[in-house]
Amino acid sequence: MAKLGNHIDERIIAEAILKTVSGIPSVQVPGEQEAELSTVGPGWRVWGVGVHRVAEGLNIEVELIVTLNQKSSIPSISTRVRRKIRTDIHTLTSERIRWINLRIADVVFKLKNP
Amino acid sequence: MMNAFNRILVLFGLLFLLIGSGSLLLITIGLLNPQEWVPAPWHQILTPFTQLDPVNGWTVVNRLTVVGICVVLLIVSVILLLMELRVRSNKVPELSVKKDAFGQITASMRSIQDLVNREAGKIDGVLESTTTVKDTSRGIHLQCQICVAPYASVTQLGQEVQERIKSSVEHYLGKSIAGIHLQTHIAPLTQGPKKSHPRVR
Repeated sequence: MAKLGNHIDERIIAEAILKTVSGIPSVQVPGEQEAELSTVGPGWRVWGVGVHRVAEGLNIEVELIVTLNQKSSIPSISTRVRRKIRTDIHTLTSERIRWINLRIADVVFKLKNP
Repeated sequence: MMNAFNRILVLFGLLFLLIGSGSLLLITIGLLNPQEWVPAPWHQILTPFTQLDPVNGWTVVNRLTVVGICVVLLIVSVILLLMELRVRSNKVPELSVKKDAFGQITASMRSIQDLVNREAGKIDGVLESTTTVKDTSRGIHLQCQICVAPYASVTQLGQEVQERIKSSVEHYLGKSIAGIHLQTHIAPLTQGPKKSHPRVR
């Protein structure tokens, strides 16, 4: 595992977030063509996820395409996503997560017309 | 990071071009003496530009060509510099959905517009809709323009659209709607039914 000092490389964290989000139903991270956020390093780029390391910990930004149905809502899905990301990152590193910002880039509806 | 580096590089390049072409222009027309302004030995490179006259074998056309090139480079560098210095905001307008100690949740205005237009388009009689979203301290303010079918009752339809949009947006976003300003247009009878495409995938 690539490490920077005592910290895990941002790339590892960004890829872990990408994997976490892809496992959550109703959400997906936009690809290269649609994403505005990315984490960049020498020779690599993870689209749709922003990992910023500051002195106090990690600031995470994730871009999402949310699929809504009649029962779901953006706040409830977002809470679920943030909780899952936080849990998964804590299994990876003990580094403090300052905040997780989510950006809903697009909304897709999975509804039948009433 | 690379973008910032590239931008700084371009800015420095343009500044160099601006200063270089400006200085050369002033030297050529005799307003700047390189021996006074440019340190040795660099002034030796620029001094010949002060002697673009027939005595030294240069024609007026040669001199005008140098002046013309300098003016063109100066104008181009000023334009490019201004364009580069303009704050380029690539950020898509967003609306804050939720903010707490763990972070912030934002939604792109486009996604909310799509949501509103989709809800409006589901009502029978609404042919097309466009929406502008504004986030105010009291809540979301929506400005909708709907094109209604000629057979529809605008008053009844308007109320139905407002109620549907309000309940849907409040449900999906969890944010209160401060106001919905509805502007209706009745579709001309000659126009064929132009149903808005629901964003159902």
